[in-house]
Order: sequence, then structure tokens, then C-alpha cells
Amino acid sequence: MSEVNDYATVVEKLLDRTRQGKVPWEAYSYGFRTRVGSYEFRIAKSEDRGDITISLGMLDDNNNEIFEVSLTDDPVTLGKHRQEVSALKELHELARRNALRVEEKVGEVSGLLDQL
Amino acid sequence: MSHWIGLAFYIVTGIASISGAFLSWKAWKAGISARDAAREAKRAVRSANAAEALKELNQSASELLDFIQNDRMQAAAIRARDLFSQVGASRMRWRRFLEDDDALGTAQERVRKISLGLTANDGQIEQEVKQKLLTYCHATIKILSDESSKIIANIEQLEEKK
Repeated sequence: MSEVNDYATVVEKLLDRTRQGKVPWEAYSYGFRTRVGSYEFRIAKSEDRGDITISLGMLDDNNNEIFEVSLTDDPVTLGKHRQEVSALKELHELARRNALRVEEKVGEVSGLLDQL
Repeated sequence: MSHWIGLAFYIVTGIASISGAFLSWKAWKAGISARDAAREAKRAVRSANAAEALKELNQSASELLDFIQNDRMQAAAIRARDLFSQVGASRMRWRRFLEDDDALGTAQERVRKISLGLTANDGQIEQEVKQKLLTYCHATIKILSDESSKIIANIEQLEEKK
């Protein structure tokens, strides 16, 4: 497991580009993934007794793991890495919305409900 | 005549022996049940002590929650440190009366994270962290309260069976 601070810049840029809609995410078995050039980012979320853990991994084109950061929103981690935890949570939520086309589907169902 | 006297003697002594054996058996049985009753009473008292100890820990955890809610972080840090060791000690001591031994392990882990969370940023606690600390306190209080209630319920159930 990597130290989150070592890759904070990459995470921040990935979040920024995702916010701008420049990074297309797709769903896969364990979460969501996207390709940037020959690299792949994978993000996953798990929950244990009310604590949420977000894991973000980067792989090269040979499927080698370049890094993986994993943060849980427990009081200790939040005390040390609150911003990083928030960034990963936001990135996961944006990836989910992007991959599952949440806005589009919600808009569609809203239109369908209007027609009833 | 002496033949009949001898026979009567054997019958009387035989009956006396059997009665003696029977009375001894009765006394032995009474002794056993008295010992069991004493053991049961001792166990009931210890169960009640365990329930009381968990109730006190619950009270302590409630005060920890109150300290955090009112931003008394130094007092909270000291309380969390003490509570961590007290929950650990109770877990060891009262293990045999707990329905779910893991529950106190979980409570202790929660208190450990509260303690570390309170000291992670030199006592400067942001709102999001404070909220999480309060969530952990509530979870700890629930575990301690549940375990204490389960012990009391078991004592009551045993009393009703008597």
C-alpha cells in the first residue's frame, strides 16, 4: 500500500479532469475504471461498520500495479488526511455518476414520470 | 428361641444399615445441592458485577461523548485513553459472562481510534472529524449498553427458571 501523499498530485489532477468531464469512467466487477493514455485507474468503495474505505489504484499497460492508495474515513485517518479522504470520496462518486450515466437516467425517469 | 432372636437381630441391623446408607445418601445429595446452590449464587453475583462494570463503562463512554460534543478535547483525550484500558480489562475479566466476546473487542478498537483521532492534529478537531468521533462514541455506548443488558437478561431468565 502506498502513502497517499506521494501520489496526491496525480489524484488531485484526476479528480479535476473528472470534474470537468474529460475522463470517461466505466463500471467493472469491483468498482469503476478509466484509461489515461496507456495507464488505467481503478477506484472501489467498501463499507465496514459505518466506515467507508476508498481504494484507488493505477496500473500500466502490462497490468502492473504502479500504486494503490486506500483511505478509510475513521477518526484517525480523517485527523491526518481529511482532504485526501474527501478527494477520494468525491472522485469515487463522480466516477460512479459518470460510469452509470446517473444524471441522464434520472432526467429520463423524471420525464417518464411527467408523462404518467 | 435363640434362633429367632438371632434372625431378628440380623433383620434389625440390616434395616438400620440400609437406613443409615439411605440417610448418608440423602445427606450427600443435600450437600451437593447446597454446594451447587452456593456456586450458582456466586455466579449470579459475579454476573451482576459484570453487568454493573459494563454499566459504569457505558457511563464513562457517555461522558466522553459529552466532552467531545462540548469541545472539551483535552478531557476527552484523557477519558478515551482511560476507557481504552478499562474496556480491555473488562473484556478479559468478564469474558465468561459475555454473549459476544468480539463486541467488547470492537468497542475497544473504536475507543482506540477515538483516542488517536483526538490527538492526531494537536487537538485541532475539524467538524467532519468531530462528527465521526461522535459516531464512534455512539457505537461504543450501544455496544456497552447491549452487553450489560444481555447479562442482566440472562440473570433474570435464570431466576425465572428456579
